[in-house]
Amino acid sequence: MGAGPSEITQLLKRWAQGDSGVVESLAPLVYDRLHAIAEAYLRGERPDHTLQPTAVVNEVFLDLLRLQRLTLRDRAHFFTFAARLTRRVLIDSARKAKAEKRGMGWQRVPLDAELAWLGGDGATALDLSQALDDLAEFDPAKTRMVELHYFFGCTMEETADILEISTRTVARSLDFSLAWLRRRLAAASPTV
Amino acid sequence: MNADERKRFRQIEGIFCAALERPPGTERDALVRAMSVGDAGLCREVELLLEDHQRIRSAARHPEAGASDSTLSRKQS
Repeated sequence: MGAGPSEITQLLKRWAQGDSGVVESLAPLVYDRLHAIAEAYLRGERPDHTLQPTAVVNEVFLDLLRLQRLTLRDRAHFFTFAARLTRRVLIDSARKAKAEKRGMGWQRVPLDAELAWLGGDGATALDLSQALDDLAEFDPAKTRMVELHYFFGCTMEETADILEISTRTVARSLDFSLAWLRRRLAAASPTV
Repeated sequence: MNADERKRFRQIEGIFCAALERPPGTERDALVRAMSVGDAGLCREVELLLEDHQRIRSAARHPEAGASDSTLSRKQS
């Protein structure tokens, strides 16, 4: 993380108290990290595709600004929420490309090699989103872990810190969650 | 989602995590069978998850091989 937890938490407290100017201080602390994540996801994209990392990050920021009225109470809440927004922007893009039949070359590069088995097309991203929602019905904390670690790029330690559990618990839960997600996707599609 | 489904999810997770504490092979297989206490369906579900776990680990170690494995990917041609 580029900024300390207390720094972000203090900025979020001021934001929640109605200090809209705090966004100008918060954005630089998280922008570079969000941009790097978007770049990683889109690295295998067709060169002529219109979607760019900057556009993904801008969409996330726009959503954060639109939702300013919501209280992002601390660093953990912010990271979890931003991870969801990033995921949603990517899924929306995949859905759009699929609808327009222009998504055949859309390559999504996971942040971690452990997710390489997901493949790279837009349809898979949509399936994964549904599988994550299914997982959340059983255990919302597991979906949060996957989002934070694999979609937002938090380390095991950062994920454990944010969720206030042990690193060992995070590691074991991620092992289980990935296997569960893979089985879910395999059951949904005979080609996975 | 009902209470029974959540309970089974927890059972599967508990056995899965306990099994990961043992090395792959007969010792792990025996533990899974023992913890499933005669529930063949439960035992099979855990075994399948453990197989998937091994595939994921293998794909992470050898991402190129994983990406070209038709059982792990469904890239469009």
